[in-house]
Amino acid sequence: MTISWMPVVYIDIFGSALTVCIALLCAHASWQWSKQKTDDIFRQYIFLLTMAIVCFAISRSFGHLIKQILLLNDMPEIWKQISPFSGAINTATFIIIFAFGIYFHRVQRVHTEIEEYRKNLESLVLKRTEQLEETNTALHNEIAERVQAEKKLKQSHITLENVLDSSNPLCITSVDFEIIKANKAYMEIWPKTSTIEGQNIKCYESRPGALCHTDDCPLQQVINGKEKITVESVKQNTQKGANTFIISARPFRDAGGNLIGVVESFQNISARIKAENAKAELIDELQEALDKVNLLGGMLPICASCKKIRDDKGYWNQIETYIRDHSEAEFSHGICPDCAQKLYPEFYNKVDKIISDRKK
Amino acid sequence: MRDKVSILKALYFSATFSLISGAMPVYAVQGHGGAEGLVSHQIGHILFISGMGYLLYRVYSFRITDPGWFEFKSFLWLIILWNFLTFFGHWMHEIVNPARFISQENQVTAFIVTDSFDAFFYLTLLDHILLVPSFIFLLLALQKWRRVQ
Repeated sequence: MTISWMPVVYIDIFGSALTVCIALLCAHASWQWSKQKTDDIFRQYIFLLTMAIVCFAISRSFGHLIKQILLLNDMPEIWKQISPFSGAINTATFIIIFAFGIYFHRVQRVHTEIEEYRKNLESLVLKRTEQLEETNTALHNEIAERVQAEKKLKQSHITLENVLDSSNPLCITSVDFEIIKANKAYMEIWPKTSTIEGQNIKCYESRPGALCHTDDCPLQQVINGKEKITVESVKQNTQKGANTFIISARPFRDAGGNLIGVVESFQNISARIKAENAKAELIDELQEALDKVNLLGGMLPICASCKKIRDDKGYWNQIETYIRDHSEAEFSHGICPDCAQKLYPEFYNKVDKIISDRKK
Repeated sequence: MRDKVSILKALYFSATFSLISGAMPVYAVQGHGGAEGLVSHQIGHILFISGMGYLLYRVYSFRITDPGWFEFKSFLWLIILWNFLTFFGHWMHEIVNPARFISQENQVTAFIVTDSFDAFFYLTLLDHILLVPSFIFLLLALQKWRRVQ
């Protein structure tokens, strides 16, 4: 049976041309695919494998096309010269394709491992991100709460400062006898509450007094366990000298309830004491005056005949004696003209005549 | 798994060795003549088949069912078949009776088929019937992968 050779030629020509076109499309599709994710090792592998196959297809197809063209144009000698090169290129592409083929497994394994690592990593990152977001949210809330608390604290601080500054002299002294805090009123009396370097000074240096370094010191009493102390003490002041204060002291504790110092308020009672002293003196004076008034006051029983006065004990006293004893009056004895005329008429008349003459 | 790979390797090296040792200088003719020779080209085909076969085996081993992999496997099957076809085609071309070719003005115009060998040889010359579809499948596979991604 004789079969036309034309199908061989036509299929070879059209097949080669079609192969070239499809191979180019494959190269383009592969390049596009690999470009979508350049860090994907498997895509890069498929891209290179495709390129090797495309190189094979193009080299082979061009070889066949050139062969057919040369044979149809009656130039078999030229084809004989070219064919070894065409075939060699073809064979080289076979080897390259083979090399790519046997590396598929390793590439696939590496790709799978990388994908697993990536998934794990993504999962881990997702988990960590969620945790971070939760932490972040919590942190935001905490910050908001803290800001709110800070505002409240600031307000409380201002309120406390206002209260402190509007009250009596007040200070907080640590158990080490150092002044921690003092209000304005305190500093007006005892301005020295800290050193130039900003270090706290001792209370007995700030406001020395009679109770310092004794067991009667309010801080010492608080350290010894007393909860409320009220003492009166004279404190020295550089500007106003010694002043008397009523010191009220209470323990100062931290949030844990531990004793860390004492809160003392000072009430200056110097003016009051002075006023009280003046008042006492006045009372004494008044009392004395009253006592004096009482000496000559009241009903005095007096004898209608001899004019003697009966005292509280029932004794009858001469009137001058009684008055002398119950007042500051003193008596000097003399005789009045009527009594002299009555008692000593001759003497009285003589004296009276002399006086009349002298008047004339 | 390692045993299978070892068997495949042994088969591959045995085939290569036997082909090289059994190759005759007269095989180096026409299409792949000259310095290259038919033997090296046939070894190239064997390597091609081995590479694609191994790849196909691995693809099946991985049991990948994602879009595009069916087309890729089809490509591999067709390219392997094409390789076999051309491998035999090259070989048969060397031993086919030149009298079977009818030429006019130094150009072959017809081929006389007397037996199945001649018929198969004629069929091997139409290798593009396998090659073109294989590349179509490769293109489809790449397009599907691209679309999926």
